[in-house]
Amino acid sequence: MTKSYEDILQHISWLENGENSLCLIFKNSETNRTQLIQTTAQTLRESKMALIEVIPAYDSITFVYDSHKLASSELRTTVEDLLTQFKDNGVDIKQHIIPVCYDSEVATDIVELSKRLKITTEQLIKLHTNTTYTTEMLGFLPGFIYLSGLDEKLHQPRKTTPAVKIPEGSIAIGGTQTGIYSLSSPGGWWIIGRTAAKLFDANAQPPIEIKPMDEIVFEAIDRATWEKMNRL
Amino acid sequence: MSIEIIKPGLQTSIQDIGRFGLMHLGIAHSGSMDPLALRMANHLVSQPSNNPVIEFTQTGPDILFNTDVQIAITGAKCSYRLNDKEIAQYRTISVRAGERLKFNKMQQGFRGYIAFAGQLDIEKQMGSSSTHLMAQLGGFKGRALLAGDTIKLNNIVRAEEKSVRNNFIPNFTGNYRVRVTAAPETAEFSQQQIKQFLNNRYNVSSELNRMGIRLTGDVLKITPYPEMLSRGLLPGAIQIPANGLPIICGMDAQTVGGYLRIGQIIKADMPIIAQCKPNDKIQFSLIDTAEAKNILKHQSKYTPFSIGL
Repeated sequence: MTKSYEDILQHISWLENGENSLCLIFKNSETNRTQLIQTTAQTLRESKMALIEVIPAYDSITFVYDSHKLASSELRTTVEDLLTQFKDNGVDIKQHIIPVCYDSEVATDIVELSKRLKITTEQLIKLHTNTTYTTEMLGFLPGFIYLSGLDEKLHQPRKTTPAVKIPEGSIAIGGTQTGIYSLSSPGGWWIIGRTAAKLFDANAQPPIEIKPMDEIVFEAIDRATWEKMNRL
Repeated sequence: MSIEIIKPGLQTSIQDIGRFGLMHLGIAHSGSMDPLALRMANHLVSQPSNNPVIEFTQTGPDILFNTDVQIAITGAKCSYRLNDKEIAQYRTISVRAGERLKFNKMQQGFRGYIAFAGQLDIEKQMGSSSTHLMAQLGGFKGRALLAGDTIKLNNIVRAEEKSVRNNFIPNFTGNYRVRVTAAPETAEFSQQQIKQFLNNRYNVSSELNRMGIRLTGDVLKITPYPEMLSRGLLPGAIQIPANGLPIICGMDAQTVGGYLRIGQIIKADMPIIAQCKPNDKIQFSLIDTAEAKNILKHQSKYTPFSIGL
């Protein structure tokens, strides 16, 4: 089905983000939003425009530009032209299976989160592994992947105060999102599992194998398997 | 032709101007927390502004020189000795092979920079020599420097001796006024909340690193706290999480974030953020983007060390 993007300009807004940055917000959560955002971002990154960063996210693209070479008005016009001409040509999608240990001794928030959600940890694990997730974007940290498709029963606001340290390989839930902390870092999400899968390798080309729009499936493994994989 | 770290200091790492064009992969901008001090240091040793330098935090490193080379120390005001003789900052200093650079004490500010009239033998990783500590990326083995680390110095040149004029040397009093422009979510805050944010004299907490600085002070009550989808996040952004206390994003900050941002610190004031230490005081003022650009232009015009856009 060819979808028309002629009226897209009525559903976006441009917000200032400092001296040389604009944030473009997509207000409608249309079915192809991820693809529209990711494809547009990639086209612009590969263009000859004086763009320093193009950061696509769920409902936004953040642009950092060289203001000596590019006026914000020119950036806006170019992006808007691209959006109205967008054609949904489909993309090459891969599926990745990520083994996860949901043991409460290492998945430090799984008990607390189950309580808050008023379900058992077994139900939580089942709901979390029963879904095929879509990679909405990369970011936060090298190799961190943001996934959509989280079951509504697992939605839970982020922690009020972010934790100072979340260990590497943590699978977590924040709001309506789920994702993987590829590196140990601070963060406000609830840790429900751990994986030994290495998602980021600075010396590999590409450093991150998972691409936006790729599918992710979580597969529950026991603690011993996780520990064995960690030693590899 | 090398330098050897005798004592590493609290957190000492190799930094340059940072990484560009990789934030969509989750790779932080990284690079010198104080871009102005980086440029000044390199200028004093006749090196391009992007030449890798040593950045130190609170306590500087002691370094043994195995070669004659000129250096310059900028950033935080601190006392350094070369073979027990006090040396000046913000000027070209000649060091002889066998001499020891010894850190004495920090007097003002938080981060210092040591530049060399040569190139530290640091391979670039993902476009930069900067150490991204959390990602263990770039710099010397992707980590902070340790005692015993030896780094080769290549292409040593004889730099013309220079110094920075006194009125260009920043004064890090610990009591700062920091200017911000609107961030994408500023409009989600009420006028009252913005007023409260601007009236508050925040305290820099002890939770601070290259990734972020947590502030304490009056809590901005945001109820209910809106669930926001994570969006691109730049160094200098001020996030207000649900606890109502600001977090300032540093150079190693995450590339996207889901907390509301109340403001974006102007580029000309980012060196202040680099020099914030626990218990320093910050008050914010809100200006528009056009004014922020003018301030930066002014900074570029009157110092040869603009941090640029």
